[in-house]
Amino acid sequence: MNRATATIAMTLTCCVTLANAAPYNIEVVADGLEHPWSVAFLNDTQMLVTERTGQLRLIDENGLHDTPITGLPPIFVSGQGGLFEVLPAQDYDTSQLIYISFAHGDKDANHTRVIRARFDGKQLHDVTPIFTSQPAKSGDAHFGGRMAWMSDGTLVLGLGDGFFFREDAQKLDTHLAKIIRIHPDGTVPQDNPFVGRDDVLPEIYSYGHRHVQAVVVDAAAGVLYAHEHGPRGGDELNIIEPGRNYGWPMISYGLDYSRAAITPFQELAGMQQPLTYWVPSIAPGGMTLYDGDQFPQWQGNLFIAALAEKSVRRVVLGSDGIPVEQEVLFKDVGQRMRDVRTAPDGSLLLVTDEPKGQVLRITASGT
Amino acid sequence: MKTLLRSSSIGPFIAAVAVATVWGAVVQTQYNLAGLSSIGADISGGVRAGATISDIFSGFSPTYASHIVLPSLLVAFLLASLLPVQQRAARLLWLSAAGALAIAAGIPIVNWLAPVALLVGATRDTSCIVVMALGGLIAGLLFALLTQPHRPGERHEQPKRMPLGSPT
Repeated sequence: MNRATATIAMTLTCCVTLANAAPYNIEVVADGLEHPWSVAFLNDTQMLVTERTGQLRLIDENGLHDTPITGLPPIFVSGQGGLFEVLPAQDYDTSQLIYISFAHGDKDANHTRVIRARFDGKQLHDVTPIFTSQPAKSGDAHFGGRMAWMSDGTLVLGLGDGFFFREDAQKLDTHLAKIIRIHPDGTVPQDNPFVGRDDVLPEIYSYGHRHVQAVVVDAAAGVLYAHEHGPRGGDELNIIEPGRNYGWPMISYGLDYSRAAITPFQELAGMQQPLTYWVPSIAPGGMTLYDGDQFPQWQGNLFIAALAEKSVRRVVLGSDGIPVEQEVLFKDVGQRMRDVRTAPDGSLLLVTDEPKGQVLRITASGT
Repeated sequence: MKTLLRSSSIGPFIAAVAVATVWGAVVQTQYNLAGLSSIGADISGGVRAGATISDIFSGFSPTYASHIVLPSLLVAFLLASLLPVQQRAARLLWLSAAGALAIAAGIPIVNWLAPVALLVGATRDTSCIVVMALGGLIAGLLFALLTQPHRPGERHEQPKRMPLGSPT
């Protein structure tokens, strides 16, 4: 064996050793879920999981409850439409309030709707719609539906362009392809960027998105991160600032599914460039800013579930909040990743988008 | 119409596919640019030309040709060959109509079969399908002309060479 061959062999051995020394374990928390979409912790032991096909399920120390939670309103389940996100109120411990986003209507006229409801452990009560996107659109694609609490207690919701209405992303008299911001009761914060303009829907916080798939707040830094699906390539990670235009479909790094150019422009004045973008598409799903204790080396990193890539992207942020490095994780699971969350115990929860999807827990080795 | 099944039809068929593909590429680019213009994009002549050329020679044409134009025209022309149309004008009309209908049907069928909401985004506007289908009409016309059977009595054979000095 010459020196070069020996060096290559040693390098490969080291790589294999490192790959096998993954600092985590993967365990199945729940399985047999129909296209689970999001998961949310109610407390240290209970969590709610949505199935896109319209069921809200409870998981606790005993595992997944067989019977879905009752009290959900009718949900439009078709294509990409269905039940989306569940988000506990910030004062859930005392209020028992949860917020749920879903597709409402039918294939000819539908909306993305958010309801607020009180959850008694078995069923929903006092179900109240607090937001319904306007106007109605047709089709069953690009609803958005991800929600997050801002530091000031307002709620942000990411929406999509309905696929067939891409130009509406630049129009401010429609909620399509926007991020909106509302109070928990659905009223409009008076410091929203377009309040006072008669030609603009006042809930709009930012615009020019394609299909927002995650919104995450870094409360300490006061930063709102969001990512969105591009078409064929051009998925984007952005820092969202009020009133800003994120460019779709005027600028994009993606192509039409036919590989035609959607736009000849990748940059235009007055339109925000993404922090990073993915070509080819990874099809990002849920996202979490890891702040747990189990993986100190991952603190402050964004974790982004990836549907098409069947992985989770760990995105290392620099001191200025700009991505500096990425790592592809959990590809060996071999499933489309729909959501990723930080659990109260510092583990990571993954949700897989499959006909019999799973909730997986990632714990540090040795815990 | 049996002339359509000859090996000599391959060249005209490729030409027909190429024409319909380039036509479709040009049309869908203009629809996409019109959409951008409608929301304020400044599309200069140079930008328009660049975008159009890019769509013709890069990714769109291979996708459109392989997924829509080629299978649609193949089916249409094979079906057309089953009909005993003999008259020149009727044949031109019939193949042109077959080409147009093939594209008009092929686009929505492939859009419907595609795992994404639409394979060709510009065809969100139905009028785009109609205009793209005109490429099928032109393709059918071209194919009909290039595969035109010879009329009975027409002399197309080369005159026989006669040895010099032979009696005429």
